[in-house]
Amino acid sequence: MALGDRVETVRDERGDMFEAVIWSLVFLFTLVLFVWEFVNGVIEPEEAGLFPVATIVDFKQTMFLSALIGGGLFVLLIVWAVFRYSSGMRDRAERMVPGEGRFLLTVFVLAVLVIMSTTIFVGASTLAQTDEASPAQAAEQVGASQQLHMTVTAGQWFWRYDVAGINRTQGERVVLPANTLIVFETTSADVIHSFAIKSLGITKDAIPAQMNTAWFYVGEVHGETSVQAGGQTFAADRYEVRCAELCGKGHSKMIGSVYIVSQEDYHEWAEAFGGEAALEATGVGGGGHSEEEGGHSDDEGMDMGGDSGSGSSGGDH
Amino acid sequence: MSTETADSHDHEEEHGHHGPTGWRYWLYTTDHKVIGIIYLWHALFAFGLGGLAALIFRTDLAAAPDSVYLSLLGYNSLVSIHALTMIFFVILPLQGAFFNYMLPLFLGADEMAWPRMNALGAWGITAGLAILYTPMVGNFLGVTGVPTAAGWFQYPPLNTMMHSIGQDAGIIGVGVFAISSTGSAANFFVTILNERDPDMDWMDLPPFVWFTVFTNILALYSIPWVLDALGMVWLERNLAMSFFTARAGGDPLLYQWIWWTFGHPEVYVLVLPGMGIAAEVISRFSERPIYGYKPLIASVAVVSVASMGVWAHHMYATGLAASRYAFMVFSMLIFLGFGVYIYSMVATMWKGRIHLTTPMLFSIAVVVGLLYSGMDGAFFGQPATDLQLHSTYFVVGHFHFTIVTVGLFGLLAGIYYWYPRMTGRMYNARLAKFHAFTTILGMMGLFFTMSMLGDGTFPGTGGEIMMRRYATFTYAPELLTGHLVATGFAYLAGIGQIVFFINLLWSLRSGEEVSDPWDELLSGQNMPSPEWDGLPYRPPTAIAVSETADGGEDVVSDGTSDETAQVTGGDD
Repeated sequence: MALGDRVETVRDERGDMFEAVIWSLVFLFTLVLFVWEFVNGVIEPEEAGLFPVATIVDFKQTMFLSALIGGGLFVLLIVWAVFRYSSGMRDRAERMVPGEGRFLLTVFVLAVLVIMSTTIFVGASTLAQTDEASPAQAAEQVGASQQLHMTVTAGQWFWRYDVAGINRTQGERVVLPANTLIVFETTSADVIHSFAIKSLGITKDAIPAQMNTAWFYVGEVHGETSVQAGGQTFAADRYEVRCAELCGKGHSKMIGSVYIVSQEDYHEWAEAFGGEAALEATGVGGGGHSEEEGGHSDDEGMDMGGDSGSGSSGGDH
Repeated sequence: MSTETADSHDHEEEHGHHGPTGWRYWLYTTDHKVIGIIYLWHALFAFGLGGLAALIFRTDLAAAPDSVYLSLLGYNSLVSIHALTMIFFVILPLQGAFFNYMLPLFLGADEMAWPRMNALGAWGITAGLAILYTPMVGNFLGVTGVPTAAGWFQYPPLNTMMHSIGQDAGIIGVGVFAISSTGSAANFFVTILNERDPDMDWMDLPPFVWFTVFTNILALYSIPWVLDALGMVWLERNLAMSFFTARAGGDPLLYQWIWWTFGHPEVYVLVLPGMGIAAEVISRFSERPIYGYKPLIASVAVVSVASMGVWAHHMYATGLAASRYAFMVFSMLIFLGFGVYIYSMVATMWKGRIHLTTPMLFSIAVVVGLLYSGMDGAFFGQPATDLQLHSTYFVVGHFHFTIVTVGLFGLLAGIYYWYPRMTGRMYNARLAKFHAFTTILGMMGLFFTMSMLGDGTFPGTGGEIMMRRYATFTYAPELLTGHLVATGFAYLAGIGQIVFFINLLWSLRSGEEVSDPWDELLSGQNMPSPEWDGLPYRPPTAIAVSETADGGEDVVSDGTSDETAQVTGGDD
């Protein structure tokens, strides 16, 4: 190593052609990583039948694609500039004419504004369809004729699920029906936690003395695993619950499970587990009495869900 | 060290002071250059500490999915310390070093506006750092509990419930530093307002000074909020007041509103100086004027204003309702500002003659890093996608891109660019290139790996997602490969930093003595800079440069500053 080679130090800073190649390759390497990540984001499988994640993924793919094209293009320009315009490759810089490229800059700003406003509008409508939707609107979107209410309580370091109609609080795992809108509220017994089922697109903070409402829906059961109750076995799918807000030393151990069984199985499971399947009509789709419910406004629908949820758990305890 | 002492003694003699000598000299000094050096060493020392912490828990993560060589709480603690060190005690002092040393040179001022306030700012770093790290030493000795372990934004009630002196020390350490930095921010801002050379108009300010203006406006606006938030937690912990405890009538979310009102502008405080340095360096080493000086300044203004209105995008999952639409719109507005910056930098380099010097390499990495950071960041401005990616490693990748590849890389560019100016000696260029290579490759590789672990695109993980701040990942052992790769990149960067420290220290004694290495390197270019060439000065806009050149292409670099200065009239 030429530590003592003092005369060389300043001249070494002058890049030659070799360095131009090396450094454009370094920046190209980061571009490869970027493209790899974002292409995979674009071709992410659409989770058909899972809400809200299916709606989010649509939007996410669009964002990945525009970021890939816009961002990638600019990095490519930089890589090219590092290679082509480096001092090892040319003798002098071209002069900048005053006002040079003013038109191009205007076009660029307009393009950014257009992409920005598109993202704003599409993003807003995605939000309106997912996290901002009321359970009634949500039910209409996914075509769920029935809903089930649940309260999720987080604590250091556990999850507790009180499902309407089920007499016992579930802890290690919770069993819920498919084809049903699961309307849930999160709250916390101690510090702030966050109830996250990333594979369903759900993240909802569990905050002491605050109830946050959200909902999800699973269309069908593939039967990848099973749950047992009263000697019976039911085909089920597992969705992982994780805590998404630092809550102390047990944070990374706050892994829970949501098992989804088919609606028919859920009735049997609920009986075997202790309780009943307290599904309610949402007012969407066919069915005699659901038509009557359809007359109510969205707000009333929400209140009803809340009332019956607390009513049944109150009666059971 | 000896060089600085010599340097500062020179300075002392110039002004004819007969002050104290030895350690008292360093302690009592109000000389902006010496204080700048004090800032610099603090930042580098803290950089070593924070980097070491990162390497330790990265090693832990890569060992096995369930490995906790550190305890679970120890892991949280180390992560928190890493974040607090890097954010408060590395980036802020490092930019403070350049503000202190360079502002008077850039502005043609003798001193900072308030030299004593300046000294207070410097020693506030020492005090804060000492208080933050004392419980760690205590913990190693078995005297105290773990140091602060609730993360860098330390939400209550977790923060108020942790029974450890370390938690209080974390609050007080950051608090002391926040008080001193508020003073410093006011000082930097007032210096630019009042101490400018009379001939230097607002539109004559070099881009770096403009970025400094906005940085310090944001610092003045944001830092008091962190004092509020942490002060209230301290009162709650120690005087049984109740602001955030629901049981006693407090509101846990209140803290988050206050904290992120600080937290988001703070991010721009971290990145803007680096971007300003990158703008200076890119223009100079491309031999081209800054493209679009005025749009560039306007874009920083847009970003700065927008940054004050986006804080709640950190809180999309807390049960916020319709206000999310407004915060989403403001968050998207950031793209406009940073977009113009990126465009301006690319247009400056385009058709230039790029000298791939170490400062230039880091500056190019700033532009590239800003792109990646923005492309990742878009997903967090949008509530819908945020709810899927919130608190995953995608966030971790994103903010590391922002703070390291933009903020820190810009400041590293500044260290190399101004090292000869600050020490009178040239660093070893080969070691510097090695540092640039390992750092750019290592850091970018590391942050991309983190992002991929966070959105499930790392090869072979089957779409599994790594959650932020998880000490173990037993739920998805297939993430181990990703962590191994990440840790590999981290070590690559770590080796680079060791070389960096060796280079700085070695060159201090043995580097080639130079006055202006860049003038020699760039002979023939027509862009003086006030910290090297003195005043008067006009920023190298296309108009200024073409007028100076007076139709000719080649202007001898000697005396260009005077020629530039004589140009009058003409507008951008």
